[in-house]
Amino acid sequence: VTQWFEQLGAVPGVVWERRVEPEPRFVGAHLVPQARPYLDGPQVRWVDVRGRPLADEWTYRDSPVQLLLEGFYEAEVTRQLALVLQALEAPGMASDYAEALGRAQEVAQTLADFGLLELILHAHVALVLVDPEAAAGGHERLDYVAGPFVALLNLYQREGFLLEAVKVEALLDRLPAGAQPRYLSEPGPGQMVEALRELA
Amino acid sequence: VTPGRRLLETSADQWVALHRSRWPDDLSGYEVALGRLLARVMAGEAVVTLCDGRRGSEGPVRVQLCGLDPADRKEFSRLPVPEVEDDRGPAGALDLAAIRLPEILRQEPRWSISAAGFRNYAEFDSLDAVICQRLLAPILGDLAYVLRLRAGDGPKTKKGRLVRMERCREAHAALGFGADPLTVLLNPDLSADAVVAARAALVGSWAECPVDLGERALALLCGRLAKAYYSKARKDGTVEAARVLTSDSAGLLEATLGDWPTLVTYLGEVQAIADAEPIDTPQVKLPPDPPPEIDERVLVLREWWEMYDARHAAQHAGMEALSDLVPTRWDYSLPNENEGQRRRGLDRRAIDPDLIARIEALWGWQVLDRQPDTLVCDLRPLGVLAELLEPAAVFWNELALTAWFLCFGPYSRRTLDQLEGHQAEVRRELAELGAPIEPAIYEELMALAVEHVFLVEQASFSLGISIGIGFDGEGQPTVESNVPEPEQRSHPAVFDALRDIITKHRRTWLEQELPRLLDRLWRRDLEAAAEAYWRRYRGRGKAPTVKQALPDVQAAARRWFGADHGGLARFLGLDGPITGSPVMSPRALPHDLAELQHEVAQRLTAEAPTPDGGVDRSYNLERLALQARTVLTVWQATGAVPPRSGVFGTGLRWTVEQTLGCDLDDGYRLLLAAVRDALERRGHPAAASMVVE
Repeated sequence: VTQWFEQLGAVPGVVWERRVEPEPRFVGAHLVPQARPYLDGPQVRWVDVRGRPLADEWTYRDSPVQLLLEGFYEAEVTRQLALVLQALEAPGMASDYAEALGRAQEVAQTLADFGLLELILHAHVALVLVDPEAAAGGHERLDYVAGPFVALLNLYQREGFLLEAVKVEALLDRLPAGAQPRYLSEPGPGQMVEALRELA
Repeated sequence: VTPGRRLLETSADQWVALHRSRWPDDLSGYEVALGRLLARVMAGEAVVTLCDGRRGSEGPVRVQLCGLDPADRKEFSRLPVPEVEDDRGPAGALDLAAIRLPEILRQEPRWSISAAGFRNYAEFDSLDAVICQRLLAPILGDLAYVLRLRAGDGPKTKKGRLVRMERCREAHAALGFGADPLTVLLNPDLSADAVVAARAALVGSWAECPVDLGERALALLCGRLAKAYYSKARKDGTVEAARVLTSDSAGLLEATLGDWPTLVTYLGEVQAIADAEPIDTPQVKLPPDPPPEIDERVLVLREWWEMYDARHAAQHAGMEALSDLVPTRWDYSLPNENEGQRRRGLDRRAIDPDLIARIEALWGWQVLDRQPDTLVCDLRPLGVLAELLEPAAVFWNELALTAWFLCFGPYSRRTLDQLEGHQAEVRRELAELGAPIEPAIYEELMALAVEHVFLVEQASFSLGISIGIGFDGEGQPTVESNVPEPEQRSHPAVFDALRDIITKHRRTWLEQELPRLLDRLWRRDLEAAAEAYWRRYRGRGKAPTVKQALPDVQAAARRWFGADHGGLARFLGLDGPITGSPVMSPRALPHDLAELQHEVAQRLTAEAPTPDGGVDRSYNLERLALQARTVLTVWQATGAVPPRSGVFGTGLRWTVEQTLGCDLDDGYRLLLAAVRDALERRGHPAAASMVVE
């Protein structure tokens, strides 16, 4: 059975403090093998604490995290924030949290809440570093996982926080070959540190 | 030593004293007004507010200054405000992040640069916006540069950064602010908390501004202007306005002393002869009849229109759509696309070989900016022709193609009733060119829509998909899916009726308006060339060199004189080196360039080390191989290949890395080797020159 977690904060190596109470209907939800697996269809399914399925049979997007995110794009931004924060407290797989964190990033940017954005990006980076492929949801989607690294690096560099940006830049080396970012703005923080030394 | 030269030798903190003795008395109120406004901005007051502009939330923002005293506003009203010519109005980049930094930093000390946002796009059609653009942004932008520097924004070279940082220090000194916070912020080893503290100290120091802030601010701007002036001035201190006034310095002049003579007086210099006693240049008067060069081209244009008219008049159900019949300025297709399903290149195929040969002879020439004395091949004469067919061909094409696609699908961009509104702009252009369109055509076309409502119904883009799941003989599940084709449209009779209405109107227009339009086109181009040339001539006080004059005459020469700017200049009665004609290059290009280019692409495919051969990759390789033309055109002009940067610019870095697996320099060597091989197979003499210097 695929690895799953009670909430984002339960992923080893990820720091995330609970900001909202978990949604009661998903407390105790867990993964079980699919009773009647069908061809390439899902081999596992999510059930609630009593073992009742959370969604229709053969549905791919049936984790509590994904179910909580269902109305995301139709919601107002404050409701979007509530939805993503609740999704991060619900059971799910690494790729579920990666998706929720990606949407949380959008919300924090829309709200111009850069402190929250920093926390979200840190959690996302840590989640990817634990297991890039699991966060990507498959080897073929690896090229998505560098996104939070680049966003965090840019956030720090924009403010001139070069020491912090350099640390994020160094973390990129820990990503596997297929996960390197396609585009990094130049000059990067390392180059800027050198440039400032030259000017001083 | 003149006061202007003294200003250059004085350190920026002393500028204000010198400035005070030179600034015109009648502008002292302006200085006071600027001082008051700047002091409020620096103190972090919410002076600038933003709201949606005339194009709503998607367009440029509207900037407003709050609490501006009416008397101060009157002082600022000497600044010229651009007029709104159409519903778009002037707009551009405005460094609102710098202007609002003191305000935003007080609300959001840690993430102030992110909160201030990036450069903003603003409307420039109000006094408030012009005050921001001409006065606040240049001053605050220089003060805040050190923060941009830490972020890696601005110049990318050491020299560029040193210059900008010097301006930043100068701005602090001229305005009476200390430089200590700047030094702290240049330390690369600061933690985030230390950066936040240093930034707050810097911006906080701006709030303690001196009482003569307005004078100091204008001393700073005049100091910048003086530097621009003396960077071009002769030893005797004279320089022509046209040599100094770029778009930047002209804006600075407007915001400070207002006009050129006042600036020269401020600096204590005398005007250059060309400005003091402007040269008289002749009024350009074109003769009633065109010269033979233009006659020949007008004749070809008429023949093209005859071809266009005949093709559209004969169009009926079952024929190839005429969407590519009108050539475009740029060719977006790639050579390998001919192997695809869609047959392209109708713009060329439709033209009679004799006419194509004449088009190539008349428009197949150009001179390169850096080699204006050598005529070389223009590899896409149809692109020049396209310039001369606009806007009329755009108008008639939209009508004819809308009729076609509405009747035969797959879909039309517009329905019949949307055409009149959509074409208003192009009709206005045609009317200005003296070839108006009779609007009755829309009424006649719409009369058909009464009976055939599909002409005014937006076709739906939705696709259906059906999936069937069953079990085969062995009990294994089977899945079938089916995407239905969009509904086929076919209305031959309606098309014929629409076509006949359009043909009738087009023929009347071609007969009555086309001759006038063609006459206006060459006159417009030649007059514009002569006017631009003489303006430059007057600004310099003497004849410009060929390279200097080329931008003024190049377009007209390419369209009407086969790129012979000398022939054009002599016809216009211009005076100076531009009247010499360029000479035909002695070097000839290979005749089968398209084939050569394809061979280059194949060779690159074989050379490229990346093993996967997806669609994207072959597309990218064809795109890179397209640059063989640039290489050979430059070779034709100079006998050597261009530098790498002229062919593979940094914009292609990612493409080159992904498709060729190497950096730009090595990628360029690969390209040259591939071109050389292709040339060698042809025994072409250019092969020997295909090496990087």
